[in-house]
Amino acid sequence: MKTDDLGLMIGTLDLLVMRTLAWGPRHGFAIARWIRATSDDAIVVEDRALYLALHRLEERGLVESDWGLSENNRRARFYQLTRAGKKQLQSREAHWTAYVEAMFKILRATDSLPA
Amino acid sequence: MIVREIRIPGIRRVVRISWSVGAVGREIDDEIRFHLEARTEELMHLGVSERDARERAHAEYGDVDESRRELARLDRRRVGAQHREELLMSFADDLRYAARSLSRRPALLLVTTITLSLGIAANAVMFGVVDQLLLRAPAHVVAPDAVKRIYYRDMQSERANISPVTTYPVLTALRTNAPAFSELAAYSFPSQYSLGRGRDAQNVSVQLVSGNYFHLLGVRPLLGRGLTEDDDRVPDGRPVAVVSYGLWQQQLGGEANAIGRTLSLEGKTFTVAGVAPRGFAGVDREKIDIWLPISAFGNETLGRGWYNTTNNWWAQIIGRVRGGVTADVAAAQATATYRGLVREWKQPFRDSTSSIILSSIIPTRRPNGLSREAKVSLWLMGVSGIVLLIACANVANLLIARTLERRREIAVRIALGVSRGRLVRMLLTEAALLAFLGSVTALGIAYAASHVVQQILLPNIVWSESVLDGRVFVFTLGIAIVCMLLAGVAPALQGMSTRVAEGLKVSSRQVAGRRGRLRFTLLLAQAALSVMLLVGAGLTVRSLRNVASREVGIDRDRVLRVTMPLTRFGFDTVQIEDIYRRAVERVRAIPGVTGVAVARLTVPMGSASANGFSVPGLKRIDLPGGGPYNSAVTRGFFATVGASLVRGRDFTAAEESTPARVVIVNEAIANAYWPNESALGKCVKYGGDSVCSEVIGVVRNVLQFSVINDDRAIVYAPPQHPGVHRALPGAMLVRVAADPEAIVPIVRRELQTLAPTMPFVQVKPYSELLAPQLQPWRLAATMFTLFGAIALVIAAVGLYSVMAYWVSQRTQEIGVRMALGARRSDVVRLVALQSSRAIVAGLALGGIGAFVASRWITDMLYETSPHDPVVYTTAALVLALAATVASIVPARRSTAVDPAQAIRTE
Repeated sequence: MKTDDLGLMIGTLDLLVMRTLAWGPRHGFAIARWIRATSDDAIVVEDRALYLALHRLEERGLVESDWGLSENNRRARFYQLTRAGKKQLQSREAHWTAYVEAMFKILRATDSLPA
Repeated sequence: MIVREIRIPGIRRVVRISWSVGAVGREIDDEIRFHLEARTEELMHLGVSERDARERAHAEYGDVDESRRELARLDRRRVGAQHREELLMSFADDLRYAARSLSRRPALLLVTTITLSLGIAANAVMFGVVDQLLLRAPAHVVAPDAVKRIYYRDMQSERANISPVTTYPVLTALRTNAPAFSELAAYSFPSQYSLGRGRDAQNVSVQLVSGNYFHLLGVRPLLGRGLTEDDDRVPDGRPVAVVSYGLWQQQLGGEANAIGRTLSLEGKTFTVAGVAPRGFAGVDREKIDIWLPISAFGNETLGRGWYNTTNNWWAQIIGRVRGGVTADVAAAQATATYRGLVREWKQPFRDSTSSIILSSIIPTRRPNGLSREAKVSLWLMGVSGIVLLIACANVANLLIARTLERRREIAVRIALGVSRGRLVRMLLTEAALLAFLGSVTALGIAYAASHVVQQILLPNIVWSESVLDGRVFVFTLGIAIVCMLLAGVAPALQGMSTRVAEGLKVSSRQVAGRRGRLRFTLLLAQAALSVMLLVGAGLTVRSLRNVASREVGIDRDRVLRVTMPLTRFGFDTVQIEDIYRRAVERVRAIPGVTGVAVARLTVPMGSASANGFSVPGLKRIDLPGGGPYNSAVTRGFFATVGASLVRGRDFTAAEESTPARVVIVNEAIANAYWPNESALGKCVKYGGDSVCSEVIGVVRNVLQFSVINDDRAIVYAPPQHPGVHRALPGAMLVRVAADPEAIVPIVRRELQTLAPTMPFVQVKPYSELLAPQLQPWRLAATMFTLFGAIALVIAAVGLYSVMAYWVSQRTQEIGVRMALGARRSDVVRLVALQSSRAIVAGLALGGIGAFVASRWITDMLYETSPHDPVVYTTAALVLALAATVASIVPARRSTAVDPAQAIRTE
């Protein structure tokens, strides 16, 4: 994905990041790796955009960060959802699901429009 | 993994990131570097060469520099907001904490609040007074900066004389020849006239003003209209009046129909045209009841031809300088006009090189020096500042003691990670809370006190409003902050320097010597400043006593002055003489009256007339205060007022009733003309008389106008003396045996009914006539004493608390000493010794300070040496006494220590 498409993806990327953090604290690299692996490289996010999303979420108080040790015993910045973040994730997920389902319904519908 | 943050009130989160905005960049760099390295490693695990892995990691990341910038922007915003929030939260925490911990120490809270509020109140009151006296233009004047008062500086006279008084033609000339002024107006000094006649007659204060006076000042009447130029057509203006708010309320019912009603002033009828706004008291802030056009009452009160005579000096002039014209230009025009006039007059004693000075209309800011009231007020403001310093030193001392007590607690906080900056804020918050409480209480005290100062100590000034207002409020806020800094910084710094290990290890008992020194210094400073204030109080009280008891030739508490404005009411010479004759008879018959006399021409605190005096064979001598003045008095005048004859005798009954050529001179004349011989039997020429009169007596100087520095030369003749030339009685003087207050109304009632058309008879004891002159002295003495007393109490309380603290810290030591056999008196001495060093040093320093500083208050002193040893000794004794009491009490308490208990505690 190119930088030009960032704007379009902002809401989506935020949701993805928050979803990742729902399982527990992660550092930025782990999130990037997880997105890459889970989507089978279908969604390619520039890392810069990922970090921008993380920091933006932190600024809004949806995630918080702290320094901790990585699996290889290296100093890494860990992010985790705040209480507000968890709430936000729930409502956005519901929103997304409803939206996607609606889209699917339309895309798979047979022609029943009166001519 | 993540470390959960730990929140402890007042303690910074144990683990947290980017506290400071500066750390933001560093953390972002670390984060990005970690990401790139981790990705590189991952790729290398998959078999990619290091170089390729690195390149790919970078490519996947995108523009690192740009990323760094955008992340930093976001983070900085977040950290900033967090910072602000935490500050606010920590302030709230600190406030809560301070309130809680102070409320646990009610005694400390009480003492500090009272101390601070006294200090702040003193300053608020004095600032309010000084603000109104010196800084503020008279009320209701529009654009007061452009209004200037005109002063004349006489260059020829020895003492470069600056005066605001002139004659009416100067106004006329300035109006035509000084276009720099858009308007010019004159006004008279207020005079006491009688309103109504007979039994209901009253005394009112009347000021004559130009028709444009109100217009020039921009004063809008509350009701009706102000005076106009039309009302003031020279020489005969319209008999209309503007009355003050007070007169309107009291005499005219305070209703709108007051406009158009008539007032009978000194027998002449005036129509009320308007009511002045409340609080308007002219430009001089004097009590004025009625304003009249000059031309409506000039002929009666200033004499016929008042508008063109050049030797009748009564007018003060103000002018409004045109916009865009500088005051210098206006002054130059006025000076040129004035010099031209003086040259035209060709009066030898008028100086044609005089110049005109334009000055502020704020009366105390006249160019010939501040008024005594203003000077005293300024001084007292400085003194109140010292009181505040003492109060702050005291509070600082108390707070230091408190910080010391809490060393262990502070050490614990530091150990827990509370930053020292935060700790300082916490301690400062406590001081701020105290300053806040102090200033709220102070405003209450100041509100009550300012009324007292206004009404009792400065009664001659009309206060347009309460001394307390927004400006005072802001000022109080300002000094509260200063207070907080002064009282809070030392203990706060001290709290910051607490060493953790030390604070945790030692019991809170031991006090480091350095801190002891600071407290010692604060104590010393309080003692020294208190001594200075006490010395000041002593000196001003002495001066007041010297002025109040000064020999002025009149027994002020026993002599009444009676005046009746009969001429203006149309009584003729025969009637007036008759009224006075009957008045003397009636008053003499009142029980309690021991003497009655009548004076003409020159009357103490009344008129002064110099209509001729010479000594054949001797040159005329210029005497200070002018004169010699001529007076004519009845027999017994000197006994009545209480002026003793130094030599010779009083007039005889025969000399009183016949045109006898005898005179009595006062010491000022005798000493000037015959310094080395007796004046008795000398020949002098009195008044217009060309024949010798014999000096038959020399009398003590009797004051003329001023309670101090008023030794004018006066020569007295009997009333029928040919030189007196039919002068009318000026006043009657009455001597009473006891309390004049009780007899004044009786005398007045008797005289008011002498004739059905009697004007208001004014009966006043000399003590009352002289009271305004004593006011500045009284103001200085009262306030200085009050401030001195406050300082003393504060210092004593401070000393007490320091000693009590010292004793509490040494309970163990005292216990040991007592266990080893020390007697109670030994212990008391030990404790007293601690404070005595600070007190003795304070006394010495304060004495020196007072010695040096008192040179500057010689202006406020009268016949009192600024280095008066009695005052210094008394001040030192008073302070020493207070200090002894303040340290003996805790010392005695220390002996109640149970040795066994005290030793076990450790």
